[in-house]
Amino acid sequence: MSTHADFLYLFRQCEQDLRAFIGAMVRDVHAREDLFQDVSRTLWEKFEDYNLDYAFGAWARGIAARKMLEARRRNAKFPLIFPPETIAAILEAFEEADEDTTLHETALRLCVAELPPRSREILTLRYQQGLPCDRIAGRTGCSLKAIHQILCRLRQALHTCIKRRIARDDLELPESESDEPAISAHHE
Amino acid sequence: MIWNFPNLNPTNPPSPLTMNSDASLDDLISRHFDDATSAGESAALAQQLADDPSVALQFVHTARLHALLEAAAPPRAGRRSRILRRWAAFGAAAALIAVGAWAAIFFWSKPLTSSSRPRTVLDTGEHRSDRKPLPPGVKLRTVKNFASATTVPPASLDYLLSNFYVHADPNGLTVAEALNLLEQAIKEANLLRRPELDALRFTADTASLTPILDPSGRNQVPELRDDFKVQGIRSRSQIVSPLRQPYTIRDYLRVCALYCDVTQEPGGIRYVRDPRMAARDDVTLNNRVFRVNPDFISRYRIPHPPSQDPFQSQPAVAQNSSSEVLLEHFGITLSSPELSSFDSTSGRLFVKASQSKLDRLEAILEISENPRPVQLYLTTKYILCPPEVLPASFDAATGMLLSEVEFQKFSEHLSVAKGVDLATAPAVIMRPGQMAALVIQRDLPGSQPIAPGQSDWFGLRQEILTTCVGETIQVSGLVDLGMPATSGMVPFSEIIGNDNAFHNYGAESVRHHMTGYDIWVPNGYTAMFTLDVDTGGRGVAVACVTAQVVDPAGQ
Repeated sequence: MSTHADFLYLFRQCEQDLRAFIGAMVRDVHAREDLFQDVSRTLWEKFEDYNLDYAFGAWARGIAARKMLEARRRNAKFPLIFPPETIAAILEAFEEADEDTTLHETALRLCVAELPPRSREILTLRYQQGLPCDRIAGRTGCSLKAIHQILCRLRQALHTCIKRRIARDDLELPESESDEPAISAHHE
Repeated sequence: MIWNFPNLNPTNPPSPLTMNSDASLDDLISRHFDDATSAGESAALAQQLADDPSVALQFVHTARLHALLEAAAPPRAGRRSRILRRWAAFGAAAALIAVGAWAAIFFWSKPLTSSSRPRTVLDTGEHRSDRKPLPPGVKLRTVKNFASATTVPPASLDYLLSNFYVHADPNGLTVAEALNLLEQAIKEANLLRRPELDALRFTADTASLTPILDPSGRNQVPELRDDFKVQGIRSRSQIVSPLRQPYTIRDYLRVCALYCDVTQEPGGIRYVRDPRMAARDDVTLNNRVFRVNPDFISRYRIPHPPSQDPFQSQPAVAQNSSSEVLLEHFGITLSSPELSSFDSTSGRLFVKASQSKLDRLEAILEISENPRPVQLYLTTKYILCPPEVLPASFDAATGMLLSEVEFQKFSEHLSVAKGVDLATAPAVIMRPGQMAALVIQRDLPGSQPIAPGQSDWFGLRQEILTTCVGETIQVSGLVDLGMPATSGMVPFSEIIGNDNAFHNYGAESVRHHMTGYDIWVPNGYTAMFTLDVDTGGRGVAVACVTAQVVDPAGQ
């Protein structure tokens, strides 16, 4: 396999986790995306220096951590939330909890499908429409505190559900969903 | 280092009560991902994360879930645009101009991201992003002077259809859109300005497609309805990946409107629909076994289509895609009792389906699994000679293109001219989109780790990246010549040849002469460009790169 193919393979495996790491630390969505691009480019440029004995994801997150600290040093307004010692602790936790997240997406889909419509509606407002909690509260007629609690419980429930499904290898789609075309309808 | 924590209010420490229970901690972490924590709460969370590894672990789980949920929903576009709409008209216009200018500079200098990459990818994007930036101070020599390529022989349309490469992505487009994109891609890649290509029109409009040769008489053009989704490979990454070859026009047409063939007739171009494409309402199911690569399923990562509710209609993801899901990805939906199964050990795909579906699948697999194995044959000559030996029309700044005959004459001229040092580097055969490095190095005895401006080897390193664009071949890379620092220029024949005298320079330090190059040559042509080498008054150093398309047999 060529260097490029090696890189693509490793990068795609850790891409989601890298986004999770950056997303946990940088508040602004655009700064987050810029940082992710910057880190991706650096990973490619430095790929020749990468030691295969070391986990690629950990290497990538280490570079991301350095990049965010560097961005913060250059620009005091860079929306980095945590100080270096906290970032170091989160880095360690990511390494400790390093797991294959490739099945999580399927499990998440199945778990979301299990949720009641009301919960799905709140998730849609939060993640698809990107609304802040106060606006979700306004739309749904709930209090802000209630929305925070609902989102917190939803995350806990989804986390538990994903773990359970992966542990049981319960990732089969229901018959009704498997009949649906994966891609938009085609005309034969 | 003194860390200025953002918005931290030390006079307002977090209440101990907020961190007393797991529930409060869960709530705090959850609110962190909703951007709903105060500065004091963020500080408290930061402290907890730093102090307690179990809290950090919990935080990581939530971070991963949050990222998954974000990825599951379509990109949130329009946040900035909503802000912009609030501006006064003048301010918005000024901002848009500024953003446009910034974007032009940004995209010129940076690889495009997947979300903003245009559908037509010519010489930008994936391929260029593979190239590492040139080292500081190294000049880029660009040879793209097609005006000098006046002797390109006329090619038949049939030849062009099979040898003109387009980097256009029909992913998810309607036939009409895809054909329109094809026209655009041809126009942009028509670097040799062939009028017959500019005149090509591809459209799903019935009137423009006549006359239709349809031996079966059953298969009429109106079947190419505007809402007929492109049947083909839907994974963008598979299409624009440098590891995959660009389409020829003919292949692109086949992907867009399966089995559509194009021939040149005396009266113009005719679009012939393969009789096999005839929409047969056959109810008989047939079995067929296709040979595919063993990584057939795992290779494709099926993208999620956008939907109103991303949590309800997400398709299965690639990791555990069944062959049915993958076939749907190709636009072939199997309905019971039709079925398919894939044996990864033997690379066999078993399909039981109607004949029309089997025929369509065969066409798709023919293109996706067996891409036309075009290869490029590249040779480089390194020449050191007095300036008057070079062709009179050679411009040191822009270089020049030489046809096969012209280069042959020039080579003959060099063989009899005085004061010429000429060496031919080993030829390289590579596929479009691949990178290669030609390395002829001799170690420097007792060398230390590389320092700026110095290296531990003498010789030549030539990096090569190729891309087929239209009828031309783009070759780019870097020539790095390691020469003795004090003895000056070493003849090319000594560097590239097997002259052992080169070892005598081993005790010296090395000076690197680097030249970046980006050349565009028609098939069989040679691009000549100046090398940035201090020749010590011994003339001009140039490199001549010849690129040819060959089949796998090397013909």
